[in-house]
Amino acid sequence: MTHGHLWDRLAEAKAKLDPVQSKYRVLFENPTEPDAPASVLVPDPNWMAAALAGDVLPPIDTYLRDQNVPDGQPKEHPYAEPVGAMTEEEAIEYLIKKDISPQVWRDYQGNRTIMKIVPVELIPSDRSFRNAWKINQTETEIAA
Amino acid sequence: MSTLNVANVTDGTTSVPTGYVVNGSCKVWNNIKQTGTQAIQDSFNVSSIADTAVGFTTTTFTSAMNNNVYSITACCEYNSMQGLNTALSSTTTVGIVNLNSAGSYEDRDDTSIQIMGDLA
Repeated sequence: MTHGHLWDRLAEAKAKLDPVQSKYRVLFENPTEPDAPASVLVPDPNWMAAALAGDVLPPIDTYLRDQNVPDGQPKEHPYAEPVGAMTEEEAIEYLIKKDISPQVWRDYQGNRTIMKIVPVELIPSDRSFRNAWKINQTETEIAA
Repeated sequence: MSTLNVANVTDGTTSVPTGYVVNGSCKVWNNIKQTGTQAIQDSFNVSSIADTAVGFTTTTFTSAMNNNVYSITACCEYNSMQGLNTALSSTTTVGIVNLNSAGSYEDRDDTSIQIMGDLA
């Protein structure tokens, strides 16, 4: 039986699944732009629902291989056989690999902590100094 | 999942090729709240957003576009201008920046995008 195109599965999942607001956010800094403020990755609630339900999203390896495929050429991830249900923590790990540059999560060799997974409550809601946010480097301070 | 494989769709009077329906569908959309803690209010074909600075948000797609010359429509709350952050736009992501009427970067609610084009 064919599993069709990923976009079709996403449409079916959105019609069937209630969105899930993740309790996590991912803070990260771009090592190639040391003066830039820290970024905050926010998982999409419909994507998270699909990840937790399973049989919608393709294997993460297909996305990583597709990063080397030129624009306009056939990609692997839309037609790959979907993976099963994940835990929320596994989904966050998948999302980091998919949506954050490997320069951050795989290749960085420096001493600074440039990525942290934090509960959403630790993200400041006051944005007065948003462009000065950096990841705290101490063990006890994990907020941006 | 069942698949209808048909060349045309008709309402009994007018008939159009199914390609019109497929090509004319919005491939990615979302509605973002930028103020406070940034959040996605609703979406389709989005895996995440990245809050990168005041007024700046990057949206990443679950199912990639075929090329990076797709068509984007964007809007947000009143009294704002909006631009495409081309440095962050590709087949998998699009960056949007909001500015106020004075030309300064500013967070806005109901920041929305719709993308038309071909999927990979």
